[in-house]
Amino acid sequence: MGRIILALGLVIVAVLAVATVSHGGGERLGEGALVWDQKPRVYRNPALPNDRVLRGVVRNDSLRIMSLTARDLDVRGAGGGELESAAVFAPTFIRGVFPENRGSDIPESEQLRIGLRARIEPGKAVPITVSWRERGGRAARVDYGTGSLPIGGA
Amino acid sequence: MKTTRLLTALAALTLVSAIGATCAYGHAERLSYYPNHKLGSVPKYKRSGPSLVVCKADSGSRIRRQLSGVAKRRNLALLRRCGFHDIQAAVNAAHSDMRILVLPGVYREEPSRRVAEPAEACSGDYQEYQDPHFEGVGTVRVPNFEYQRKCPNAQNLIAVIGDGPDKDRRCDHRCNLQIEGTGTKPGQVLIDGSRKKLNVIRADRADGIHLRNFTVQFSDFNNIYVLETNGFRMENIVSRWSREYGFLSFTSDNGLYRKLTAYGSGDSGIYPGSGPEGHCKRYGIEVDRVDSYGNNIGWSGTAGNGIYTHDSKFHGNSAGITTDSFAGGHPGMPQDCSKWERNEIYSNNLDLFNEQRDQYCFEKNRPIQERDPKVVCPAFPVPVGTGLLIAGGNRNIIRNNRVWGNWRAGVMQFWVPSSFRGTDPTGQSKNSGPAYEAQTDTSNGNRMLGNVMGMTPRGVRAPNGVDFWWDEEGHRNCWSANRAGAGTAITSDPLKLPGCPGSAVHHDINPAKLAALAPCGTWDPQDDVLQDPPGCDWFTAPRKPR
Repeated sequence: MGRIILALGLVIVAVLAVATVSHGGGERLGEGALVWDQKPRVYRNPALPNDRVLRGVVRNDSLRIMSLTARDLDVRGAGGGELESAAVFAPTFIRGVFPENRGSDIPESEQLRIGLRARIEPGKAVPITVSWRERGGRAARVDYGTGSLPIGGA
Repeated sequence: MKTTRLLTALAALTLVSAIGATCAYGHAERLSYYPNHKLGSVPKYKRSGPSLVVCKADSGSRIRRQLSGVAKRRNLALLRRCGFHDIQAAVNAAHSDMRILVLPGVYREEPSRRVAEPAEACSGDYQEYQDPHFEGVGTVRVPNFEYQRKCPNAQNLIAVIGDGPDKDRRCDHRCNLQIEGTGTKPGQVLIDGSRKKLNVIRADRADGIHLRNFTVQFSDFNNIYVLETNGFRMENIVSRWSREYGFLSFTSDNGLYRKLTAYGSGDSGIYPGSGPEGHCKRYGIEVDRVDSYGNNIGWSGTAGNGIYTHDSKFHGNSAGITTDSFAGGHPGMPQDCSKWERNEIYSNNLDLFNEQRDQYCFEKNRPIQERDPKVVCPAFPVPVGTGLLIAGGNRNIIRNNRVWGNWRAGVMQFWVPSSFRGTDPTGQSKNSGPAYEAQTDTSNGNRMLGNVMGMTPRGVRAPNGVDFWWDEEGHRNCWSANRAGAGTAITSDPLKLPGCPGSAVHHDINPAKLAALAPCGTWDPQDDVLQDPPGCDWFTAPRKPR
């Protein structure tokens, strides 16, 4: 059953990706190797009116493995200014097993497990959650160093 | 197919391909295995039998000052038999089934403190395992059992190591030991770790261990640590200001936590983690009349399976109780089959995540010895103001408890996808194989029955932020016969909760709720922004609800 769901998921991803391209009228999926695999959605927590949370799926559209650190992702406004933000390659709350009150670094393999890092094979996709504080300006894109993902219209 | 399922499938695809083995335990432990529960039992209290007596130079004056009557006479008689000044020395001299009687005094175990960690004599006794998928990134090197056996005081102030060099993982010597303070109150025997060792007391494959009637403080990790032990009992003990855990058991069975007081822990007061795998046919560990407060979490247990917790109090923590299926490497995943009954779970609004605390706890380069050990520094992110949290758990029963004054939620439940747990290299978890793809194997079949919400035992209204919060995911989850105070109704999010036995049809997650949860996983106390990640409201104590 799990394999069927996975297979269906992949088929639908493919269909959605095509649909987004064909119906989006040229809507950009991303500039660079990383693209939205499907249109992300932005949510607002009523308790935090200035904050926004984007949930989506990103795909490695390049021919090389991409290694990303969630902390290196920046959310920028239309003018390029950086907003306070957080990112994780996970669809829900996940925490690690290493206590964070000891001042030691989290091992890289653990960071990969809990979505603080991602290692994306060519053509593969991972879930991502990005959140930011909108103070004065709206978020326009998620910058990951070698490219960016558009937020506008999400 | 809804977006959520799509994300689920993608998460599975990505992680199953990326994660082949678990990196480590949170408490940096060797790969651990459950004992055969049929071969053990909860130890009974021994009032007689062979014993060794431990005292300090001032035990006599303490006895005369603190005790009276029969207790005074008994302790003075024992004082004449005193043969040891350190508990570890008595443990080393003990044989199976003996009692170690500890007279009033403060035990700092100076000889143990002088043992270096890492221990040069045990430099070859490590277990190393590697995740081939991460090309060397995932290498873990932890002391193995031989390390503990041959260098017992490298990591532990007091070590009861029961197994020998054989491969059976069963106790061979110093089994069924009873270590007991002889005062009339736990505070009269104080075992002080001074943050010198990871564990103040370690019982490792120490089947039948019984610890009783003392106070233990200031470990660098666990005040009391019970590992791979078949039959254990901790009774009438006060644990305070452990850097991480007060009382912790792991891959152990036939256990009893009774009349314990736990406060001031950076993670949790009690932690029955990787609990017995009874799969709802039995409870292997009982938690009875525990009072856990002033911790980051009162009761926590990753893979906290098969635990029966009753008649206990969890209050004044950041979160009262959490059980989860988050962590990699914990045998017994996913969490299942625990029961909480007749407990009082209240006022868990302790704000350990405010700016002042962040600054104190997480200022870089401040050595632990320069911090006040009585200041609790939280080890993990929790939703401040929550009574009981099931974060990936199945077939638990929450029945006839009183839950009030938790300003975020009385009970919260949400899903944890199995792929994020990683695989269990010991093969003792459901998702041990790389082909395991059941992303929705939590949270299902949890029943919340007959709880009294938002009202104190005296009948005073003390609302929870919301009585029940659920991310709406899972099947066979149900809520029945819960009641609120006079003139009020149960509050919940979603507004309507399924009654028991619940629907067999799997509910999808509410994506807006997922969006509220996910950013909280980015909490980083050493980062100015991520101390309170955008989009996450967990780390501010909610306002008192009206």
